[in-house]
Amino acid sequence: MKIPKLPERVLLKKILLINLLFLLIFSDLSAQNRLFNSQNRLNFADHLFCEKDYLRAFNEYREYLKYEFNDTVIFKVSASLAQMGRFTESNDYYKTLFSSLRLSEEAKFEFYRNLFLSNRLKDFKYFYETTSFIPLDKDIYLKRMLISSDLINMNKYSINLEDLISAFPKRAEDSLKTFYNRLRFPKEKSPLTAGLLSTLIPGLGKIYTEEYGDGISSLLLTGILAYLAIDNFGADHNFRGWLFTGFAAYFYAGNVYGSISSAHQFNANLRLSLDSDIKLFFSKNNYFLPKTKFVCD
Amino acid sequence: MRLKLTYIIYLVVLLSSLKSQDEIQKQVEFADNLFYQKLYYDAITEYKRLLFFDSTKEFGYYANFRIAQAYKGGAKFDESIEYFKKAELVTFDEEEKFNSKIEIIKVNILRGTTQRSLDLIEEISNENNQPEKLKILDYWKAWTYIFANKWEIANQILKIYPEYSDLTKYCKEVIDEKYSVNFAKLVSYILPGAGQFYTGEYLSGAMSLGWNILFGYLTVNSFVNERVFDGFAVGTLLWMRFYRGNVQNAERFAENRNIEIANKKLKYIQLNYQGLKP
Repeated sequence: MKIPKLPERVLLKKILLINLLFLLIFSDLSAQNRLFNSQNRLNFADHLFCEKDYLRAFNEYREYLKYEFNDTVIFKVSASLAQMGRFTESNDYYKTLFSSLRLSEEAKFEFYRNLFLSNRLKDFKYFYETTSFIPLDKDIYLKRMLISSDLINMNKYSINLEDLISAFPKRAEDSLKTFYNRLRFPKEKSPLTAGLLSTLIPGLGKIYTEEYGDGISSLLLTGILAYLAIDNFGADHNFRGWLFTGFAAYFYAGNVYGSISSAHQFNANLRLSLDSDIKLFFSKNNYFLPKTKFVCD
Repeated sequence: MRLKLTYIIYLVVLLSSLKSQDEIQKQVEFADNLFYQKLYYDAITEYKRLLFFDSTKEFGYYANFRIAQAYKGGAKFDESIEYFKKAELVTFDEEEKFNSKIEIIKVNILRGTTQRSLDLIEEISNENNQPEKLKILDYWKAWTYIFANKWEIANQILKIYPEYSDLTKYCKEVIDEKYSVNFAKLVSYILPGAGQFYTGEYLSGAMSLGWNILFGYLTVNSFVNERVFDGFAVGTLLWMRFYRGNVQNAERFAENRNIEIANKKLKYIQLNYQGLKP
């Protein structure tokens, strides 16, 4: 039996119709999946990254990387992790880009930046000295990080003033000199001197540690209580005599202890204030460094 | 022939547009599903994806509102307020704007920024004069005061609305249970230690009474023996120190007890009250 041949136009129409039907059914099944295809996922991840929603951006980029390879995306994954303070994980990703053609130098620099921001000074110095990792055009920034790490960590014996000044712009010179002097030659108070002074004259140790009000109060109170104790013993009022003796001794001992503690407090405040001034100056360690590539404003 | 071709193109465009809406609708359902399962982190991601791909901005208000609610559910109050504000800004519907503002007030109540909450209520009250909305605002103002431990003011606001009688009852209970701080201080001025006894701190009250009797006696005794300087020194350094300490102590105990009572009631209300809560 011979099958009758369909006219060409009718055949074409039917094929078109079947194709359309197939397209519609197939697209219906994958309607939602389109939002999750690689390109859309990447677009959405970039949007999250610019919104500074780094955790979600990181998750989306990771999903994307399951199906596609893209060194920019790996860089953004690392940057997302660094922005969240997950520096070790970030460096694991940056390391994979060291052989990248486009992003090798940037990745190496970010690797160092992460070590600096996570305060891993020993690792930073180790990798800096091995030189194999050093990005060619960013040596000045690495020096800044290295020197400011010493300053931020108050390693006063590791810092050389000339190196410090030469690593930063001229406008920072005065501030850096002040920090260096405050760190190298702090105007600390000796707890021993404060204790001895208060043993000799109550309150003098406090005056030495620049707590003038407390010093005068200590002198007056201990003096009055001692006088009252002596006077009561003299007038044969033994109970009150012992009572005031107890109080005088209590205040005297407290004054000596307080002076030693006040000297410690003074020195701690000195260090704290220097620490906070240095950190403020470097604006959380990142002031003199370039912005990470791809991070949106 | 040309007519047919136009018809086919029209059909394809129409269907692809329908498909696009369909995928957005499916995304809404997917995000909602996560939200209702209280998987807030994932729900936020999916609502953000919805916002990103919703080219017609049809779900601008809905997605932002849901993101804010999810952040609130995760106790991320700052982010929650940020998204409620976005929801308020993207809608032109007055009712939706009002709802967003109310939600911002509720988050402020929860995060304890009382003054901000009161300022917002004041601001919205000035914009609205509909009695129903003013009633809603009064209700949240009362909640603000409840969270700020000012139950008396909350009670004053709520008692004019019979439908809020349950909450008014709770406010009254707290007011009745609370200790009077002024009374505790007053009785401690008259008899040292009495304020502590009033707040149930018997040991502290007895010790306070003992110290005051001892140093009061020593002070008086010094003056009787005509040792004025001794009497002055003991009186100021010891007796007054313990006398003043006794009053401050009584005040602190009463305040702490009141905080305990208020917190207990607040916890009870949060678990058992059937009406709207922040």
